[in-house]
Amino acid sequence: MMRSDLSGHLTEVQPSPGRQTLIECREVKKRFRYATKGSFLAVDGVSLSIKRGELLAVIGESGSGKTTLAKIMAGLIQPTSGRVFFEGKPITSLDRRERLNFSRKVQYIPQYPDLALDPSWYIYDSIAEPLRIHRMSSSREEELKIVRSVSARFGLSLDQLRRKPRDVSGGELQRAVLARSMALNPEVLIADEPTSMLDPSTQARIVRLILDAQRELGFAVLFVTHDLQLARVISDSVCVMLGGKIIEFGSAQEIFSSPLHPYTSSLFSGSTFAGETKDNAACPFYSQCNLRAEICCNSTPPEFNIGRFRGVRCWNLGQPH
Amino acid sequence: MGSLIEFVDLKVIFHMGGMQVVALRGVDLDLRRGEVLGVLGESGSGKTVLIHAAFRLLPENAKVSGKILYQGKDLLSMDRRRAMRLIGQNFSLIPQGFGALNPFLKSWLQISERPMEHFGVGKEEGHRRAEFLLGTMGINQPSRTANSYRHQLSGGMLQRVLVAMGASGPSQVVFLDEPTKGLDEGMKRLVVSLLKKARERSDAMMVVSHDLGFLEEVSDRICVMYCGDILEVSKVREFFVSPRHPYSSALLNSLPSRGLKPIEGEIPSMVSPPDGCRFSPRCRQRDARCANKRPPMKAVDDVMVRCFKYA
Repeated sequence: MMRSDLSGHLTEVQPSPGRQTLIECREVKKRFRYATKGSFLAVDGVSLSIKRGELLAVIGESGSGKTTLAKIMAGLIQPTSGRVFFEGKPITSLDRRERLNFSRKVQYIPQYPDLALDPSWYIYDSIAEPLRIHRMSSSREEELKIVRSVSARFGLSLDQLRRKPRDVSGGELQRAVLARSMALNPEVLIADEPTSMLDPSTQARIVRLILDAQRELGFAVLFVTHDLQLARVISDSVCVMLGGKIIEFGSAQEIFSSPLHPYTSSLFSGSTFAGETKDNAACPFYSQCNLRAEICCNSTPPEFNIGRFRGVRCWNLGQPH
Repeated sequence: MGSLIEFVDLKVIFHMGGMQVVALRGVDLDLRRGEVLGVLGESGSGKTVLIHAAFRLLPENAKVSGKILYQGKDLLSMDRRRAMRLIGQNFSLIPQGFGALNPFLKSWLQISERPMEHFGVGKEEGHRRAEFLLGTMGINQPSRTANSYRHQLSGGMLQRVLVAMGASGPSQVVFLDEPTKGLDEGMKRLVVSLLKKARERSDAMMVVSHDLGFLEEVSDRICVMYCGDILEVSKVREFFVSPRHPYSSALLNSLPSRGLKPIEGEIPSMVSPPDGCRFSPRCRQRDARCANKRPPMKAVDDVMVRCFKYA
């Protein structure tokens, strides 16, 4: 993590004691190459950690790299550079057993529930599949017992388990996807905009289910969303992403009550809308920022840290005004 | 304000292999001159069917009864060619999702299709107009966007192309179908600002959405639909301050800012919906009447409500 101490009152970030870090990524970058020509830097040097039992929301607009970051942390795609650690070990150097353990403890929920499950499988089998892979049940009876109990938690009846994805509604499907990942008793749930395609009351139901399960079972949640109201209500801490970088992070209360980055404040006040202009300025918000200066165009703002868990990437906070 | 479009007892029934699905259960609604009417409803509530009925876009297996009056003329009983001409000249549709754009046509052709088809605008003029419209929507290189295909444009640009499609002809009625589904905050704000621009050029607008915050921002009146029935029609301010129908208040309470309380139960299957009030199985204030009889639409102050509470 880039740390600087340009002004006196800004202090070095200390890793917060007490809570154990489960997944941590350090200076992760991901560049996608197009088949024809050129490439796109989706994630640009992100360092982030998820601690046991916390709910961390990643907010940002489409194309800011939220999904790519979530997938990297779930081990689903390899970063171009940088490393991801799980319980202190880099995930690329896990042996077979540790790798299996990682894939059990870290579960990923994709954005589109209708694409998440095999359309030709019964929902029962989709929920039971991870149990079979991880040999979590010794017999069919035991498997049935686990599937039934986890489905009951998410309000799915036996009748719904006997159907195929096309025969249930979007909300039911998302609950089935949740049940599938919860069947494994994970320690981290990475949810990639799990409610953006759902109606408001269905969204409330899914979010409630995740929160209740988290309170009871104590797993950590990385919640990727573009719904600011939702993030404000549910999360402990928040990262704001723009142009592949985390431009501000902190506790949810601090971020929403006193945003420091001009982008974050404009997001909350609704004063600007997302531009499709992507220029080559060092700060991704350069072209729309009211406080921009020459330095913002030429060199990437480092992460200025304020207090123990608060950081902002903006030159305005490192310079005396 | 006189009404521009009136839906009178509009019923739509889909026949699907022996099954009947009542998609609209006798809808009475008017769209007034100069207003933006927000139609609020969850998936399967019949919002899109309502729009498609006005455009006569419903498939063959749909049985439609009732009337859709545009300036007093019934679009449903008119012969198809006349109706299509009337619709083409006066209505425009901003469809749901980018799938509505033809991947094999350049965007300018799709933006100017309506003026070229119905107002005798030539190709060159059409091209010029499309570029001009895109320019007014804050696109930096409108000529490049106009000459691009669907896959060459970003989400923000495609959204503008869709809005430009709705704004390309002379003033009329604009229908928008879920313009913010799956969009992030920034894009939503873009749609709001584009919509406000498009509003100046049209006589009335009907916006269909399940996004409460968005409708609060853009509409003058709100019409709440649930399972093919209109449950409440009221002024937007009134609706968000004191919703009358139990479903409306339950829906508002499911918002993150209002407690994130989900509505109990499931949306009923449209193949075998409940008799009587469609919301009754999930309603906390139901009584004996609700399950058996469809409540009548009642005027309470300025608000129309379909609930026995007010009957």
